[in-house]
Amino acid sequence: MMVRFDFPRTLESLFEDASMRDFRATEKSAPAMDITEHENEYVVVAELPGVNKEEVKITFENGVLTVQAERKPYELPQEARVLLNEMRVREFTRSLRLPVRIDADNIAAELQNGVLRISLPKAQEARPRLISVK
Amino acid sequence: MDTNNHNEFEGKQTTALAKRPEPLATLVNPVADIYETADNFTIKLDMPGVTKESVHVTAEPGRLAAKGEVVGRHLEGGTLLFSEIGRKSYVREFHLGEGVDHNNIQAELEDGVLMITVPKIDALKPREITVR
Repeated sequence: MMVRFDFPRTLESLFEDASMRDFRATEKSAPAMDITEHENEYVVVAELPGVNKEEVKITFENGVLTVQAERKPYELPQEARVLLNEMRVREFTRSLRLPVRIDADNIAAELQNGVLRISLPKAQEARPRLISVK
Repeated sequence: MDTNNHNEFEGKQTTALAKRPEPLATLVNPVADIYETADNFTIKLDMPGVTKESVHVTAEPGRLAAKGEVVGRHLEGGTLLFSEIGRKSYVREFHLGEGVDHNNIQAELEDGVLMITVPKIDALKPREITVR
């Protein structure tokens, strides 16, 4: 009896290639991001699937935020036969310059469900303020 | 009377314009890895942003489907400056051959990666034949 995963024809060549390619090959990529501005902060959201907390490095220097992350290959059972390998990215890296002064001491980040959320509070002088008329 | 109607119309129009349009959900086919062992097929899918509640795996004879939603909660209350994620729906389907046990498929979610284990039926597992 035969078991197979049927893919559209275009994918079939990929399917065959997979076992021949080096499964542990490294590919770099810039993670997909969303950036939102709030009254007192910027929020940067980045997709880092398969990455755990210990493998993420966030730096902020001269107004430039840099996110680096390594995606460790998962445990592949000894006798396993790879049928499809589209998860090629092992390293995520991206830098962006923030348009206003940031309160660097209070930058906070959390990683949940493969999504990194970085909160960058605006420095006091960059926050909107109400000027009272004397 | 006329003036009133006119004002009401204007009012509605202003509200409609002031409301920010909801970003549409993008349909994404998540990338996958598949490997086979003596007992199972394992499928891994990158679905960053989905939660256990927003992911659905359905199996029927011959067909396996994985779906997930990213609702875009992070977009609320702010002005979007740049967007590559937004809201999205992940969908990917696989044809299952005969010889897999579609009633005992298991799925788990970790760090935005969905892992689906499809067991083989006994007839398909390799066996060692004892030489008598």
